[in-house]
Amino acid sequence: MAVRFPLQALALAISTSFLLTACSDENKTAQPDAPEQAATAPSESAEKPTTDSTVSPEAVVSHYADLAHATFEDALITAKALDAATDALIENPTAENLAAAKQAWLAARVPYQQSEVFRFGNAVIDDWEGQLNAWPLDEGLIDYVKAEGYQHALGNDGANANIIANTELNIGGETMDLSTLTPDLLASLNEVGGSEANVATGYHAIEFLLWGQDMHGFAAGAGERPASDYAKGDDCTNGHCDRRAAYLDAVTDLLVTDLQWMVGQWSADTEGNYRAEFVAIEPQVAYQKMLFGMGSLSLGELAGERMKVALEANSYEDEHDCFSDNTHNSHYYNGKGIQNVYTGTYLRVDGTELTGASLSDLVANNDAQLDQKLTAELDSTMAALGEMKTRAEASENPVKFDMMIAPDNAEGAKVINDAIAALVEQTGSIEKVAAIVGVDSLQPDDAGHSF
Amino acid sequence: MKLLYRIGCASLLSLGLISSAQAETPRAAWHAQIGHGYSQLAAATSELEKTADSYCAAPSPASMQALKEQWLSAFSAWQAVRFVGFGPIEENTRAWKFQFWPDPKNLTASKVDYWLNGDKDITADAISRDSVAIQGFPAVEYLLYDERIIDTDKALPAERSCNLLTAISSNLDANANALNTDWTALEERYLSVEDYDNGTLQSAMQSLELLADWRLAAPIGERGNGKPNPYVADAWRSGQSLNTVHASLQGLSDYFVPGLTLLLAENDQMTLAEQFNQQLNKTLDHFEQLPADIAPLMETEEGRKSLKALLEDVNTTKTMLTGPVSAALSVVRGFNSSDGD
Repeated sequence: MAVRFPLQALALAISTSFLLTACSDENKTAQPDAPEQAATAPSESAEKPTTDSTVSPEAVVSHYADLAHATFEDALITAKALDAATDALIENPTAENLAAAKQAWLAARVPYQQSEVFRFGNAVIDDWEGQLNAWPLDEGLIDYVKAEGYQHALGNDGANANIIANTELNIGGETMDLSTLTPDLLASLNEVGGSEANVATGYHAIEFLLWGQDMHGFAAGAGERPASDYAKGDDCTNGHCDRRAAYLDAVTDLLVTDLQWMVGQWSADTEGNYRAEFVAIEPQVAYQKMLFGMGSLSLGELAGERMKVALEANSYEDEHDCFSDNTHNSHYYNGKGIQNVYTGTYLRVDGTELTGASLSDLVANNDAQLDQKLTAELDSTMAALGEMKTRAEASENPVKFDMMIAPDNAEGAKVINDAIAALVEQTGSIEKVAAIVGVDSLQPDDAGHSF
Repeated sequence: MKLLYRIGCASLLSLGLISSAQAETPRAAWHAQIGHGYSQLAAATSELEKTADSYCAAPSPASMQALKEQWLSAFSAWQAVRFVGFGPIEENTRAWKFQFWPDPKNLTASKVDYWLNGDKDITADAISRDSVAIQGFPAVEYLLYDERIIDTDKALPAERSCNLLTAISSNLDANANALNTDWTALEERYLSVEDYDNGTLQSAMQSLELLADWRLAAPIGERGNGKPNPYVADAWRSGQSLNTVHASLQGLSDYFVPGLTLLLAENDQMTLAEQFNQQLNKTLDHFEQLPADIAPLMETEEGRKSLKALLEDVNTTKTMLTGPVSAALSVVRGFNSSDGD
């Protein structure tokens, strides 16, 4: 779903990548080594590393569907664990149970963020994902907020609706009954009053219910919601603990049922689902969807919306996981998802590895040099995002994403700019791959092809 | 000057383009015209800086009026070249430093308030190191127009507000000058690298898409969930949101169309060139009947109708460029930064 708006300031188009310059600001950071764009040939010789066996297009398409299925299945497994952990918190609201629920949320993000690469090309996911991962949100819609430091979207009439504290909502001349907080009711409150910042469900709503507002700005520290926000009777802090608990219960249940539906769409054992349509389309159309997802997530979404805006505007309002300060992992696993699709591998949450026919195999058969180049670039991106993760998780003086984007944090800006530059570079090769595998246009075919 | 360009373009068409095309290549035309737009921007920001200094030295209703007019003039000069998304404008996030947009969470206000409420020294250099949201035309507009500030004791010409006004204006001027210089320096490369044809065309297409879908359709509720969102529009604080759209379309006509026409002529597509020119001029004609801002038009049925009629012509212009024109010139469109959410 369109939460923010298109950006102009990133690369306009990578196909004209010679036009690109490193996007970083000399005032904020030392220039990273200027990424040499299209012109640079990889140092390795063009010797073909692969055997001469050819890869069947059908196998590549079908393995992509397997990857999607496994990733969403893992998202479901970890969402069920999150649901159980929040049930335990509601039943017994101790600090330990809150900590366990937070851990479960963090674990649930690992597969889900890897699933985002399946977006953009597959309308079935984009039509669905807003209910799970919409962002940024005006959290005052959901629960209490401290007015100072709460900057909601301009013109959002629901920005301070506080569903938890109110059994009725008046918005846009309409009165809604909120007395019973059910999954369906919460789902219907997304974009209530016409504002996309009104996000009532999904990972970030749950994140807010577990962590609360991050009042630390650019300084160290995440949200500090006390477990007693779920306490019963007089121990309840900040009021309406029963309704807060009911909200958390409903919204985690909804996450599970939503993911169940998506797993069903990619299952090989269900007739007439999305997968059945997907594997039946022309391979080139399927490649287009794969590559469009990889490129869109790399450039516009991850490099642009999720990193560059926050960095250049020095805006922690634009931090992706702003309540939990888990942004580094969200970015890291987004990047991992892109690599998964290209290489046809996925490390499941139970530790088993999925491998199979991949785009990489396909490209290697046609242009070994390009395959090596993109493979190396995906590794570089993971190294850059890994650096971000390492710094954020350092045992001493960790620097979280919202600290990296502080004005005058040149070192933090460099970490982020390096990741952006790596993503921009790999997008250029993704475009070249499109030409190699017979995709004419990377523009999304939204008309008449919505599955 | 704008008028001159319009006449120039029209006469180019009526005289027949073949001889002109031999004299001037499409990229030479683009480089010259975009360069002209950038120098206009630099001249306007220089004037803005002076006007801001004069106002703060001697605040009066008259000097405030002059300041507001010069702000609009400079912001319009930016709108006219906003379609250029490649080359030096890409460096150092320059585009956002002229205008951080969209700004749904009103970061402009947060950053201005932060500077006004603090006690840090306000200098152009300090501003250039802070958030892009403090550096652009909207931050100046906030100081000049926003209700959050103009009725308070922080309103201009309060000392810190004046310091901020002059520092932002000075930084804007420095950025516009650097942009202008860098564009001039790009000339040889721009003229010699053929792919810049593609880059220039894509850039214009994307800007027209943004203009149609986000700067016009979204504010009037013709996009997404249908709720009008006036805050996506440019310059809603000053009530100039249609003037800015007008300036951008005029900028396309002045600085993009001449080169496009030459390129289409080279490809034996003069009919298409004329059709596109006519469609763009038809779109521009709407503004003769329209006020400066979207908001008052949204109040009446008739007003909403006139906005929809404008949008329809903008959309036709957009579709003509991204469809037949793009196809005739074999434009390759790859990923762009708006392919995310």
